[in-house]
Amino acid sequence: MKPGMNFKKLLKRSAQFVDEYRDAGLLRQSDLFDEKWYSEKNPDVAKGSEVRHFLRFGGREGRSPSEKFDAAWYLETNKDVAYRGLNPLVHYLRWGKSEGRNIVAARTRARAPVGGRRSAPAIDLSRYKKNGTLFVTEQEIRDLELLHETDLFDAQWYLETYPHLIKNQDPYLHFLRHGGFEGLSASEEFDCAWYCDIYPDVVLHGVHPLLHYLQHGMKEGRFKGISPKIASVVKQTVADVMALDPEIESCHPLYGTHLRLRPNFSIPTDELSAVWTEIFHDLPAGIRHIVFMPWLVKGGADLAGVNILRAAQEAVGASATLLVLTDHDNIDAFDWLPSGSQVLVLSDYDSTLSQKHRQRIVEALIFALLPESITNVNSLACWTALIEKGKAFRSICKVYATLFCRDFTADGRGAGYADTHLRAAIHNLDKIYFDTEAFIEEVASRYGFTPALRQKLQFLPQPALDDLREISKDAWTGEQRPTAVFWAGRFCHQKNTELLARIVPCLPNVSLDVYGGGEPQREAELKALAQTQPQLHLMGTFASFSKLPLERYAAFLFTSRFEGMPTVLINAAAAGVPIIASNVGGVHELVTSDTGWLIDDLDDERAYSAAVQEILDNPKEVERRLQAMREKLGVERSWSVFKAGLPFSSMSSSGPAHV
Amino acid sequence: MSKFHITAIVNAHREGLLLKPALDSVWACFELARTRGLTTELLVAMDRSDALSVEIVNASIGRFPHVRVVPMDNGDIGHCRNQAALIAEGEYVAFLDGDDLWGAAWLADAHAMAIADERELVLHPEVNVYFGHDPHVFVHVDAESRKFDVAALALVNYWTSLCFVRREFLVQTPYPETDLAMQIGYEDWAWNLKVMSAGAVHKCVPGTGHAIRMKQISLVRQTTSAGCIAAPSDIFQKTLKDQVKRTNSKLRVAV
Repeated sequence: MKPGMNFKKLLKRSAQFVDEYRDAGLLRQSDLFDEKWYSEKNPDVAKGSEVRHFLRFGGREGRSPSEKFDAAWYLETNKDVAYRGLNPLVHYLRWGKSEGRNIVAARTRARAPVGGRRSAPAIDLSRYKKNGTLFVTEQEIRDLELLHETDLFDAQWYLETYPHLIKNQDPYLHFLRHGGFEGLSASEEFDCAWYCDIYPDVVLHGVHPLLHYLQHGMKEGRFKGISPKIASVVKQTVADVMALDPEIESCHPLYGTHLRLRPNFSIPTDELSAVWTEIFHDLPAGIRHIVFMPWLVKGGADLAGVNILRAAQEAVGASATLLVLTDHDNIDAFDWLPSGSQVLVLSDYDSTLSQKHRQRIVEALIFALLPESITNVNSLACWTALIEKGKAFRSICKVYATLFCRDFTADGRGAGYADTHLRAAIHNLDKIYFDTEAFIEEVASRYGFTPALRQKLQFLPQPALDDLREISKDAWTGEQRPTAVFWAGRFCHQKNTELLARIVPCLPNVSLDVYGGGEPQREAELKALAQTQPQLHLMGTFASFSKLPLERYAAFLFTSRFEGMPTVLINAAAAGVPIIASNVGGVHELVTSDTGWLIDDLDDERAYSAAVQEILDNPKEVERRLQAMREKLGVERSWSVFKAGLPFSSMSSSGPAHV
Repeated sequence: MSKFHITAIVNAHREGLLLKPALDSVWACFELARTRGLTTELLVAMDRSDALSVEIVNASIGRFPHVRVVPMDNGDIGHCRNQAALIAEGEYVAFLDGDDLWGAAWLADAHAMAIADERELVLHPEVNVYFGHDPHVFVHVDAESRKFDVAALALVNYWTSLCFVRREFLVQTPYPETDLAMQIGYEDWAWNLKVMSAGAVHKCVPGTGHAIRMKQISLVRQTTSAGCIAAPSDIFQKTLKDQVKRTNSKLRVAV
């Protein structure tokens, strides 16, 4: 025991070691901690002590433990974790994960605090070594990093301004250890003497003035001061005019040794501007059409967005189109995009961007790129921009949007863009594309749209996928006709999975294969049902409709309570699978008693089982209806019909009109 | 051949008593310019002005040897500037709003800078001292400084409208139309973009300043509340055409 250490302290220290040992084990078991990566990104950390450093310092400082986990983002997003001083990754692994808290991949953060922090350069530590040994402390390295990152310290300017003081010393270290405390200026933009004079508490606490500003003052809204050069111009201007206007003469902040004025600069240095500037320098030239989407996941709306992008690309070329994912960083369906598609993901630049800033970036993209047209496919940032600045956009380009079925909250209230944004935005839109006529009628009637507004609502049937048409050619050609049916979808209230429990007993000799996943409660209920009803088989989730073993099935069973035009039905139709579907939303526009089996009594299990039975018993009728469906698809849902419904064919392929 | 080196265009509306210090500051500028051998003209563009403003102007201009007061009926500051530029007789024009003030060296220093450079320049003061409500300093950026980046001009206007510019260039490149009902506003922002696209360079005149009165209700605030943008310009497209792709670009391209 060290002299002076009492038993309680020893006990406390031992407990800390135990915690650290336990946390280190946790990190080593997790692929969210990558020792090699951490070492590469943090050259100031001694080799072999990465885990200990991250647990003791790095985590709380917001240093990321691997490229899979952004520690700073986690702390910013989960204030309770930051407030309690917890290590972000330890918190996530122990509690956050099971609490459903989100994580994002670590990335070079584009956000620059006021004062213009650049993306962090790694500092060259060799200049702070003598005989191979570092002569600066770990804290000093972190402070030096800050000085390297900020535009408020200009090393060249500092050397030129104070050559007699600095001589052969490293300007950063000199400023850190001496210059700042002596009231020297860090650059033309930051005068330490001014800051200390205005904020005596900084002097009182012995804090380095520029570091105080960067770490605290900025967040507290303190001024960073006016450079001596600018201050002299301000003073001269005030001296020139003070006798002319009493309002200037009596404006106290304009006078005194140190001007107490907030300086603003032409080039803004806030978070939004830093992100936008980085985005701007990534933008391709010659963009003629922009599609705005919230994200790119494997959903019907996303497929519609990709189809619109593809149609625009066919009209003007991939290099003249841009897909902007505005609201989230999820891009699971990136492989859906045609080759050469250019995609801007706003979260790639800063995943913590506020919704308001995302909207401002949408506005800036339209203003800067001057596209000939834009289409909004469910982007919240774009919908909001359309409401606030839509009239101005229409002076730049044609403005289109899509709407699918209404979305509902858990308690059944409408909450989709048709409910929340359409009425305010419709005057600023040239066309709104709907994938069902039923929804057009519902919207027009619900909002009392005039004939002129009604004209803006256009039916645009989504095309059937070509790869499914190939499956269709091979289906049901063999002697042995399948006798099983299948259901595929998400286990949720909308899809009415509980109806399956009543349908299955009506069909004791028919196998029902259920593909999908979803709410745990429903999943458990279906598992229980499968145990009592052996003809029901839970097949797990599916990657895409075309990957299902469609040749095994006699029919596709669709039981939704509400829908627009579900992509799964278009896919089933294209694949040549007989469809039994509930008559909801726009389903009747595809599945009729001529092209399939449409069930009007949505919750009547007998109607569904009768349809299954008819399909199994009457192959001729099945073939007749499949043929009718094929003809319907050819007329209504071919790619050429889809493209013709969009305005891009009128865009000349020769080049944009603006430039 | 222009009759004067510089025409000072004061845009007046209903500033009333505030016009006196504005015109006094013009006089101080003229006096300094005269010592440098420059000839000057004052043109007061009075757009839908009230009687008090007219009276103040008339009482303040007696000392100016070359002065014209031009009543206008535009209701649009951009139109007023364009109209004034058409009738100005100076080789260069400089704008001042009827309630703001110029620092004394503004015209003389701006003129010296303009004639020393063969390029088309749009000149701005180095600083703007905002006084009255919420005093602060607005520091202009020079388009040739290392800090300059065109990108954020898509978000904000970098320069005030009180510029110094060659009259003929302004006549050829007038302020664009605004239409608040169609959410097209910010005539000065739009013009700053337009002149860049036309090849002019925004420069700051070192050591010069303007004093700008902060108003409780300003045209900028009205424009902002109308959700306006500046009239679009192709300057960003031109910049992007010449832009070299960043090595660490985050733009994704599907393969």
